[in-house]
Amino acid sequence: MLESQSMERPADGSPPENLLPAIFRDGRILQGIAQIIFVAIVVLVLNNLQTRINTALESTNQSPNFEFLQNRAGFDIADSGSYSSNDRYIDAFRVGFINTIRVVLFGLVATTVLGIMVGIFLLSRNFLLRTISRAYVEVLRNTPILLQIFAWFFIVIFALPQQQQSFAFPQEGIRSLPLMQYALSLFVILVIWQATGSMRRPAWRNGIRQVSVAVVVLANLLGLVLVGTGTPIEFRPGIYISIKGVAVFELIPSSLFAVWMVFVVVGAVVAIAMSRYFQFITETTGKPIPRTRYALLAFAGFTLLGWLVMGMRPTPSVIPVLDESGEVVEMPYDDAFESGLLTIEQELEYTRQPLLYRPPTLDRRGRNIETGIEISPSYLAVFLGLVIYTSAFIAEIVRAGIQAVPRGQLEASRALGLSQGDMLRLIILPQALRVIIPPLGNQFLNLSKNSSLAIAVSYTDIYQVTNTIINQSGQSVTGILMVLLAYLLISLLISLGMNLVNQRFQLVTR
Amino acid sequence: MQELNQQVMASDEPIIICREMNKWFGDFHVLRNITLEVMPQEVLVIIGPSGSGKSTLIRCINRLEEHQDGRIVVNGIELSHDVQNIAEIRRETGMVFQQFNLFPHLTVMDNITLAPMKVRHWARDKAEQRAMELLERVEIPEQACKYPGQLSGGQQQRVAIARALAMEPRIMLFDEPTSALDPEMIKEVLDVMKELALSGMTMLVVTHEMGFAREVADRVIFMDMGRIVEEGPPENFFSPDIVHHPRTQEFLDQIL
Repeated sequence: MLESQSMERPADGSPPENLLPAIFRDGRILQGIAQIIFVAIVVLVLNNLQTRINTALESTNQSPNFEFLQNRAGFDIADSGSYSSNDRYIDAFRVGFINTIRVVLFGLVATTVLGIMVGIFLLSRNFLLRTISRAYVEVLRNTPILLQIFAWFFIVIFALPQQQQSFAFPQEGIRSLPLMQYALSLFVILVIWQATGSMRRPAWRNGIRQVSVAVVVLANLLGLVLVGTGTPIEFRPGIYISIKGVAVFELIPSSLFAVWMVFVVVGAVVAIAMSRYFQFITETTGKPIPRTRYALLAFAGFTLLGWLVMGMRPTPSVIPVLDESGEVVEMPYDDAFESGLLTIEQELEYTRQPLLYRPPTLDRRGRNIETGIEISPSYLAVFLGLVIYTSAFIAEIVRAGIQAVPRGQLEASRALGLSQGDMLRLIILPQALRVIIPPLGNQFLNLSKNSSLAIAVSYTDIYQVTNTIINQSGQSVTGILMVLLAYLLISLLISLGMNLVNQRFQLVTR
Repeated sequence: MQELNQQVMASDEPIIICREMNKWFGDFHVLRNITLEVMPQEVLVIIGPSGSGKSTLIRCINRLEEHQDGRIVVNGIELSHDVQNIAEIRRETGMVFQQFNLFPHLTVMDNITLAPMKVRHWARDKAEQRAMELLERVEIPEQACKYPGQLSGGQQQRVAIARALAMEPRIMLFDEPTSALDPEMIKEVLDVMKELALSGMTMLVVTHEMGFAREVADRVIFMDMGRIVEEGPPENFFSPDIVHHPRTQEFLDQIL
């Protein structure tokens, strides 16, 4: 009975007759056929497209080529460094590419820092902080980025004062304290603080600390009264902000820079070695040592020491300078420096500082920046627009990533007695990063691609420059292809970086 | 002689004292006037229907939950807002969770050695040696280099027990340690807990495993609606001859 039923079932279940031979009912073969058909259609469409483009271009006598890139560009580019209109198209293209990189590179760093900050604020227990950051995120991610770039350019930057009335930081006429001396005093106090930290008897420890602070303060006061080392010096503003953008001071490496770098490098090596050694001690004995703090102190110590040693270099007794009437006069270095008669080359040669501070200055007519780094308003608008818009998305990603760590993980860390800092560093962060990194990479790609909106405020990024090149030369296919490849290169580099980081945080499961 | 007596006296002091302890979640009164003393080396099993506040009670003892009224003294340390006291109590109490809560990004070995190295400041060698001893005690020394995601539920829970024991706590808190396990894995975890109880560990266990309670507990507490309804030795508790509080009887009828 049972057997006969099972014999009948296939006859009932299958169709009365097979319309197709068995080979065309095999799922693997059907899939293969579908793929072949799809590829064939794509090839046909592409082939057709290429023929049409070729005929269209031939009719206007412009076959795509790369030779035109060697022709004279003949147009100027703002934010272009040494480029001039006599350079070739390829140079213009390079300037655009560098400008795009300038926005993307600094933009990525800034938006990451800002986004992480806002993301942490979103989870803050402080009501005001949490609400403000929530409003920040909602407003920024729900309005178009093009609008935001325009808003920065036309509302915020246009509202800034004219160049002659720039905001200056620090303000004009402020007197600077001898920063180097105070840095050194602070360093001495920090070292003593750290060194006495492990002392058992609180009375001794506090005594030594108090006495050392008193000695350092007294030495500074005495120096001020007796030698005049603490006398403030006039300090020129380092940053100007106006409708023409931002001008920032320069730090130019002087002739002493290389020697100073030796101190810095030795400091770095010593710091790393110290950190490693203390880690080894902690591993073998269990004794906790604040190794990062010690390493930073050692690094700062060497850097400061280098600066001090540089300051002791003797200068030639007299150097020849041109005075106001244009005659060559010989005078001591310090006098020449005070009266501002030194040329920049002489200053770089004879200075006792490894880095020369050069505040921004305007030319005679007060229009153009002569020294210092100039940041154009259109760069600022693009930069701020991209950074702030993207930071809103990154903030949400960071918030979600931290919240994705199960509560149980926090409870387990607390139950084990881990400190807040260890819990954050060793338990929450590694698990949150796992969730944060993939979407963070997407936001990085978005920022780099959105940078092509620079054309809206005439920032000369690669897309804006190529647009001009295409209009002038008519080489649209080559131009678009080159922009495409440039963005592809940037995107692939970002993806590569993010994939490498991502690999480090993957979880091992079965 | 006098001195010896004092020492005996000292060890007769309760290791956990709760007096008139109250806790609210918003308007919900979860723990009502809990008064409880636990002696060193005692195994206390807490049973009761879900929502009766038994998990909350043991989570208050290591401050994963904050009590709002009354006193808790653990190992002679008053539990208050004093963060140093909280840290000290957490060092002396180990906890095992229903969901294991192992750190998924660390190997079994690192899970166990993390807290001893960071909190107790042991050298790595010592922490790893101790971890291997504990893994042998819970019978999975061969899993030391694997990640939690590669282990079965029962193995994970045994690692979690080893992790808590690595801090050498005086008290172990178990919050439904077998409730998330497949039936065949429950035994392996209960065996480890039995062995631990026999070795003289002070244990507070929230569980639905009545067999475990009957066999291992020194004392059983029945909780309902945030109150301790009834307590007594397991012989009495599970004996059919004893007249129980009606609520206890109802619960026992349902599960036995």
